[in-house]
Amino acid sequence: MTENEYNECVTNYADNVYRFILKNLRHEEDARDVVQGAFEKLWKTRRDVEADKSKSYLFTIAYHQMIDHLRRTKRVQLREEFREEARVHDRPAHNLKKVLEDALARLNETQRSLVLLKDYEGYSYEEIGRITGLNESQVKVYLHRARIQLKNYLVSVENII
Amino acid sequence: MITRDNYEEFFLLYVDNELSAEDRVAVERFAAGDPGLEEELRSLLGCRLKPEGNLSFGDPGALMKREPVPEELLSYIDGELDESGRKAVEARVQEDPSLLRELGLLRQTVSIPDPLVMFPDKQVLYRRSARVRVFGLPPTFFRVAAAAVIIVAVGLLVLTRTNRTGKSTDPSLVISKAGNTQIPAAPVADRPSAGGSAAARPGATKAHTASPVAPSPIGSSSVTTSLAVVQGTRQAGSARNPDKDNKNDRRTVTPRTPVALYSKAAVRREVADNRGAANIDVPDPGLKDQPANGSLASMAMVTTGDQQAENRELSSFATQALLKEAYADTEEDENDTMEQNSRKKSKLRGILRKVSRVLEKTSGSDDPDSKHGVLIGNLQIALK
Repeated sequence: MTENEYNECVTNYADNVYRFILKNLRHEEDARDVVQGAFEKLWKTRRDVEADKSKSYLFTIAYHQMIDHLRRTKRVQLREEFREEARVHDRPAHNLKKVLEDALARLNETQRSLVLLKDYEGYSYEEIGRITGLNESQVKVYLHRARIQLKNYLVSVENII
Repeated sequence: MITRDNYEEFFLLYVDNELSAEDRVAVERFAAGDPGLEEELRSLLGCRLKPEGNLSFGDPGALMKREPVPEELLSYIDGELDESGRKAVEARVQEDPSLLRELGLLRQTVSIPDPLVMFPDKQVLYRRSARVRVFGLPPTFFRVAAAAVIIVAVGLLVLTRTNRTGKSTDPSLVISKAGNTQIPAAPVADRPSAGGSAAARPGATKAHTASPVAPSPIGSSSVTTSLAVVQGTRQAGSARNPDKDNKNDRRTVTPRTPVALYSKAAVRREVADNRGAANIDVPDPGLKDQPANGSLASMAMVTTGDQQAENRELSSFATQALLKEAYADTEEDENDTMEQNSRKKSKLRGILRKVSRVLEKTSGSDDPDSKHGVLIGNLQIALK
């Protein structure tokens, strides 16, 4: 990857990576730090990265740096199950987007990352597996499980409304 | 082994079809041997039940189970189905309203990126590596530079070889008698002029006052005496072409004279030797038969008897010019020794000087006037 290709990468993907990290961390400063760290690492290893794979590589770096950040700050949610109990205290959702964000917030980090990589960036199971270090079957199972949990939350919120 | 004690177990296994083929044959033989046992086996076989085909559950679909959300729908939402899979799901959804509702709910779970969420300061992410500016030079520059380097190298090589030849032939400054028989000159250390003082020799004078005129040891007019004339480097070209010189004048340098005799270096060494003794020997005119003892007086020029006076003047004038130049070079050498502190500088200076000499020699050979005169150093002497 040349310098120009790196800078094109910044132009094209910086916002995407930032959205992905911000939605996961829900903290702007932390998200900025993670994104900057990811691009810093991409710059250092640019000679070993092919330009057409730069986006996938960038998301891989960002994902793992985000996990490292969460581990450092001890905010990793290790629970697999959906946090149903939080739903009781939720205020009524006023629109679908807000409800969906609330539902995403109740997923664990892995599931949320899978949903965001699929929905935001349109990666395939295989590509998501490469980014997150999971195999394709795990991605499929985790993603389907997360999707059903989101749907159930939407249904329940609709019922509340 | 079937006996009357264990035959019942074998009969039951036979009825349940749990025996091997060999055991079944054994059981049948055992029963055939006793009519009572054969009747008993037949009754047991009659107890076996047969399935009744007319009984059915009725609506098995009522018992079938369905996933709350079919996996195909999830894969459909994720876009992981191929074209045929997508069409199958769409067809199934159209047939089942419950699936259509499920699909609608799943579509609502798809997150859409917010374009308003942007990285706040993208400029900090851009990078620019340190650039190394390379000034392009035209290819002709390199060609000219390479040619110049080659010319200088060849010039230095030629000069070095010339100097070596001059050193090796330095003692061979000779006086050629008739027939050009060369007599090796005495070594410098053995020469009276080199080791002796001015007082020891009546003809010796101070170097700066000594006349460089070499009184030629002229014999009778019938004897052709060749007096070696040390020529400047410019004359080397003409020495290489003796035929041309002989055509112009008989008084030109003998063609057999070694090129080393015409080198400035030989003259410089000669002068340096003499200056080292603080004297320049003027050969005693009376010493006709002695060798030229390495001094400038040993310079020879082919002359005839009736041209001796004129040649003496020419020889005197040429020798003076040669000596003047040789002194200048020697002074330069002395200055060089004083500058030995800056060794690098003097080396460079020496190289430049040698190169300039080579070029001087080359340009001298092209001088059209050389046909009519002898070039010694920077002076041209007419030979008319």
